[in-house]
Amino acid sequence: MSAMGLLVTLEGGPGSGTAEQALLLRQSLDGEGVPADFVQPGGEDAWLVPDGQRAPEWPPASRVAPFLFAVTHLADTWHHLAAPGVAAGSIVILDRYRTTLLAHARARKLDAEWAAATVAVLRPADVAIYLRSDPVRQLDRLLRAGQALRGWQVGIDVGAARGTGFAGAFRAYQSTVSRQFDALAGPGRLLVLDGDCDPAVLQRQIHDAVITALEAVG
Amino acid sequence: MIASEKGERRDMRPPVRRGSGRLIAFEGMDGSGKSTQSRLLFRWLQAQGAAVAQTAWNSSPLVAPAIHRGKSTRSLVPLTFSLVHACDFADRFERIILPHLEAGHTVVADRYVFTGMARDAARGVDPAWLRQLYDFAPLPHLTFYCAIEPEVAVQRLLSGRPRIKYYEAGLDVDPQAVDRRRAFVRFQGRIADEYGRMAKEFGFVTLDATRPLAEQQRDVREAVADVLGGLDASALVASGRGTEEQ
Repeated sequence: MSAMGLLVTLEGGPGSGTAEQALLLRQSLDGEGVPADFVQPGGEDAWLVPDGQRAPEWPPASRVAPFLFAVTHLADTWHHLAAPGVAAGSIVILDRYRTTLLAHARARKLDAEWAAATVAVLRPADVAIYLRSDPVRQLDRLLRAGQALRGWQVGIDVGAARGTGFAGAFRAYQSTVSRQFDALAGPGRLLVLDGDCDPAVLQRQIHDAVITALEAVG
Repeated sequence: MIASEKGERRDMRPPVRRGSGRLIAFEGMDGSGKSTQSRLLFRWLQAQGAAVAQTAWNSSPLVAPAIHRGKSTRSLVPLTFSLVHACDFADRFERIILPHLEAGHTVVADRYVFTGMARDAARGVDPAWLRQLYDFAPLPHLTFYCAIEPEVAVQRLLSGRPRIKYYEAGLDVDPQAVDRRRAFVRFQGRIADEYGRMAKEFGFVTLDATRPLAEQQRDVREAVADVLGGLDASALVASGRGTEEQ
């Protein structure tokens, strides 16, 4: 294990399996004696949202403020929850980070260049993996998990739900988000994996990518 | 990047409709008297019958709980301090400043983006990144910089309350400091240096904040009258004299 750990991020839309795969990765690394932490931004430790309260309910026309709130949240997550583990030599696995935020920002018509330059202040991931998933599959997973759809997941603030209902809006909005993920992918930037393949196969691919990165840093 | 032409929209993001409103900002370190000057101007403009709004730094009700929590638990590091205050500004910009400007109103801002740029740069955040961070906001038509020495500012502050606050003394970046007053002077001195650089870069109108309030306000009103037109600055200067405590 190197003196410095790794920051691994799993990126994707809601229901794409990022949290499930992050937990599986931590378990498999733990089983091999590799220290690993799983951090989910938005947990109870985040000071931005006081205990027992929810994040601000932004007016539908707000664009810049919600984005900056989310950037603040990720910066805080990195500093207080992830950085100590990385500094201690662990592999810290974040369930969604810069790329997911940027994909949503672009889908919400924020200026892509400005958003990217703003997010660039966050410590980049050593391994960033995008779990590409069909929005129909995403929706199915969320509903099977008993989750009620939230406004931001269906793009209600950008008018995606107009006349289509929540399910239709989810598919339409997440398709837009998916296209933005694809636009952000590229050699050396984002490893794209099929989030809809067999979870065990997907986990092996993720695991191998992390081990390869780990070996590369010595 | 930021365009140099004052009053023009700077590559604003997201795109917004331009209105005919006017934006007037007051900047300066804590204790410089900028809030008093901005309040006097706001009341004068109201008395003149102008459609005017005011907004103050760190006053978004949506972001306030996060800022309060961050400060009270001292969880804020320079980057999150910077971002959460940019978020506060963005919320007020989208919901207050921009609608008023688009409606053709005058907006008086007690602190504007330059506060974030100065404070955060003094905390070690990259100034170039800060400029792009605030690139969604237009430059004011007038920016008054209330210039004062930190030693004078700290005397003013301590005349009205028992102690200097943790973050205004920059103790988050000066944790070994044992004397909060000296830490304030050091930290605010760095902020003043940043303001000094920005005064040239952005064409601030510098006010000597040690002068009598009414004299400063007279200069403010004359400058504002030039920008807005149709205002009688000289007739109303006296009404502000002695009506506000520094």
